[in-house]
Amino acid sequence: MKIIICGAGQVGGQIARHLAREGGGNQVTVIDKDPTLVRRLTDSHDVNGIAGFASHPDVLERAGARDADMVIAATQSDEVNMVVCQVANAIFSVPRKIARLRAPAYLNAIYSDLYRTDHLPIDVVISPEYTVADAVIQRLTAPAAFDIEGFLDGRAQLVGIALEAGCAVLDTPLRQLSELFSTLRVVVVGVRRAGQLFVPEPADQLYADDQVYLFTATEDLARVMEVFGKEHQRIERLLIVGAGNIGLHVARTLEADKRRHRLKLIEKSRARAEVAADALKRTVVLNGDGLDVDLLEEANITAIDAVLALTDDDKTNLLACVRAKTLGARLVVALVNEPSLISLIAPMGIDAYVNPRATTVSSILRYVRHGRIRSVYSIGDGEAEVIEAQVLGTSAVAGKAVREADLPQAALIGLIQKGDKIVVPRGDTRLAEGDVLTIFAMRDSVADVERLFQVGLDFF
Amino acid sequence: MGALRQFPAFVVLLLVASALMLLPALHAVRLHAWPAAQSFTYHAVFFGVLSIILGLATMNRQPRAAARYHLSTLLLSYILLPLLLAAPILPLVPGLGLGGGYFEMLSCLTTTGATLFERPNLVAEPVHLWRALVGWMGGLMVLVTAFSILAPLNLGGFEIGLGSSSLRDAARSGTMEEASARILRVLRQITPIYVGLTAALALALFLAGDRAFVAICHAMGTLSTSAISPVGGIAGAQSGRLGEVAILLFLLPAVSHRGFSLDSRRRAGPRLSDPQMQLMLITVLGVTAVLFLHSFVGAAEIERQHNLAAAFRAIWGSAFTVLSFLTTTGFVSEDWRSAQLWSDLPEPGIILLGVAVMGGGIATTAGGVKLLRLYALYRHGLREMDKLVHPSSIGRRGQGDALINRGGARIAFMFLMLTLIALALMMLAFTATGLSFRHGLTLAVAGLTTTGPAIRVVGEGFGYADLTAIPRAIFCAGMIVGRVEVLVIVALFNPVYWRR
Repeated sequence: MKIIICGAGQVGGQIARHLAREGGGNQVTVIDKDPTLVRRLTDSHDVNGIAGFASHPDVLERAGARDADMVIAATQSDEVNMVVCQVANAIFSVPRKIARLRAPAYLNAIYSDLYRTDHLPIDVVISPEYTVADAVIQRLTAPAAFDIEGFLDGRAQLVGIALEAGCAVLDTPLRQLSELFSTLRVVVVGVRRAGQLFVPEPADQLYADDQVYLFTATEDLARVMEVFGKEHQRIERLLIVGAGNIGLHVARTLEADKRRHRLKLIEKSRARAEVAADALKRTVVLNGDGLDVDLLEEANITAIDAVLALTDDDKTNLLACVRAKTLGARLVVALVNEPSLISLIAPMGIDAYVNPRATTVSSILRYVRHGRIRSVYSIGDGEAEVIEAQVLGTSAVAGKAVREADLPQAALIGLIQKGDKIVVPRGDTRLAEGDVLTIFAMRDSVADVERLFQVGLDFF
Repeated sequence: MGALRQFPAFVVLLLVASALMLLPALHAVRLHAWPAAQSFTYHAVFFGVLSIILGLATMNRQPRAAARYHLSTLLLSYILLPLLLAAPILPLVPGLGLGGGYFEMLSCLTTTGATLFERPNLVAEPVHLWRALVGWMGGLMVLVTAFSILAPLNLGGFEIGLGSSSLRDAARSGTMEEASARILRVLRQITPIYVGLTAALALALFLAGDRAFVAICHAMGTLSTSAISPVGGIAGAQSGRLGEVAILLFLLPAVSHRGFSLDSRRRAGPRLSDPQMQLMLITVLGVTAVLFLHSFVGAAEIERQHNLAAAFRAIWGSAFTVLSFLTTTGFVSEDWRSAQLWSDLPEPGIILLGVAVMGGGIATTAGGVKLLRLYALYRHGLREMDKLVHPSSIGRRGQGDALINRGGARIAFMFLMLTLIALALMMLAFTATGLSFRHGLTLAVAGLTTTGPAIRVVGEGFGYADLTAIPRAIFCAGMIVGRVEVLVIVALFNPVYWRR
């Protein structure tokens, strides 16, 4: 697939890297007005680069817009992104156009008519800041998990849990576990042991210090957490460090929550703090450094249930979390952009992290994929992917039982939605047309899994 | 009309005043009160011709600074216009004298409603109509100046709201053309609402049983918050409690400037989220509760607490009177007395003075300190308490009507202090002329907040007619200062302002 990505910054760069690494014939071209950014990407990855103004038609033409399959407009400016899509549609008839928009007014559902082909031809609007903010809030719903993501319209959750010694499920084969807790709808789909991620076999056992990824029905989440040795914590008082786009959006969403959290927000820039204070109603906005002990004490850090460090600087986030943890905060969550820093999370005693890269890439990937793939979530630094896909009548798996489904070795089916029921797959569960599957697949098997769900030729 | 636009604003005001004299003249003709008709007509013609001559003589004069020009015109009209307005009534009220006439008309023009006529039935109806009309036009003038002159200058209560950072911006009022265009635009927008509300209230009062003439005068007195009445207050009208309910509803435009707002295109009428509305509700309900409990305890002592009808009358009487004084109107409910009769306690009048000092909304016809400034001070107080707990916290400016800019509390505090200093100086002046402290306090509050009927607080049948010339002059000065607002006068007399 020929893909043009406009903007080689945080978002554009991540998407370009991910798509380029995927292989499988993706031809990625990056456009940015800063030649050094383009250069850095083209040097390190298999992408083409053009320095220029993304919305200019001649620049797009040089990038190969005439025969491109997709344009992803991810520059800093909403308006430039819109114009890119408009130009790509009007002059080059690019079939698929994705734009990143962040101004809330553009994202308002009331005005979504705007993005019809005859108005402003944008097929998909992505807004990474909001996606990340939602991921942060989701993280709070299961504070004991280090990773969580909703699937099947929020009815199933992918949860990442670090197992501690003394929890009930250790040293038992997974096959027996599902018999022991037969009323719980839960499937262990991935295990990371000593840094190595793998898909478990039914005979595999779990050990202390393993990190497991599991699928569970949302209603069963609390009980599952208990079984895996995590007590339910109630989060009431929160401290957010950093009032950037993400921090402010998180605070605003939490304020609107009916559980009435008590929020405090720390922001270093006075001007930005004033903007935040005006935008928020009940939140106490403090102006100062999130690493400052006096300021944290002023925010009454010992009584805080959760600290969310959401500045744009990874190291500040990590240090703020460590500082808050040492001062007595119960749960600390850091926003970490740089994948190499993620391995520091556990040694530093930070409870959870949100990786904007994974979240953003996930939100893009689901539109890049073929077939009836609805949702894609990328685990770790793209080591594995979780795919939500619908079974079509003409796809290779329709009508087969799970054990006949010919799934690749390094992939596992999580929960299945049949009609309006969520079921745990058994070997003899039949995959009917219309079912929605969740699949955990290691990076190498993603392409094979995709092929299973591609529609046959007779679909057209 | 084109030539009219080139006249100085003051001359235009003179012309309008002259033209208005024809209305009482017509009313006098209808009543066959020929001396009144004669006096009003002659004066209308005389001043009309005079102002046209004056206008032709001063046409096309280019003032140096638009802002100063309008502010000084405003002050000048409050000082000089009453002389002209008083002229037609001098021959009709024997013994009034020029000083008395000036006092009477200034009190109407500033929507104070302090009257020298102890027995209104002895004065001809056209004179009452003239008073009510002048008060009503005074109210319109206040509204128009607030929106068209004071708002762009960040004065008159707009200094603590949106967009204005400090008084330093005060000179940004645009050119003369822009300023006059703005006045015309505001006039065109506000007049229909003002007239419409007055007509609606007049109709309501008429239907409630008032005579048409009384209904119209009371409607004008309510909308302009001047409380000018041809029958000595609403106790003299026939509409009774029904009329009071109607008046109560039409006092609300004096609480929030949204009533006459320029945002009418956006349908931003007065809402409950407006802090001025909330503050008004808190004040009225709170003071009513206090007054009721006060009388209830008094009534219980003499074992009359089971008289339910009297209790309800006491509640209604307090609520109405408190709102009426809060908007610096000064109408007193018929039931106000019943609370005293019920409990046998002396009239709690001083509380009304306090309420009058609070004042109505900004950019309304009400006087006083204005509710928005009090709200700014209240918010500042809360903010300081927050700062005790979180010294590095950042305050919020609020949204919509509750928006207060960062210097707002300081300016509001300055305004409050200036008002209190003016109040103290006035009391000092009054007591220096030999009046008692109680008299001095009441007169100072009545003048500065433009709540003429507040004089009743003194009791003992004391009225403005009992004042000698010097206290009257002091009272006149107080009315002008209270109406134009201390801050505007300070702005006008700021030497920096004149030197440029």
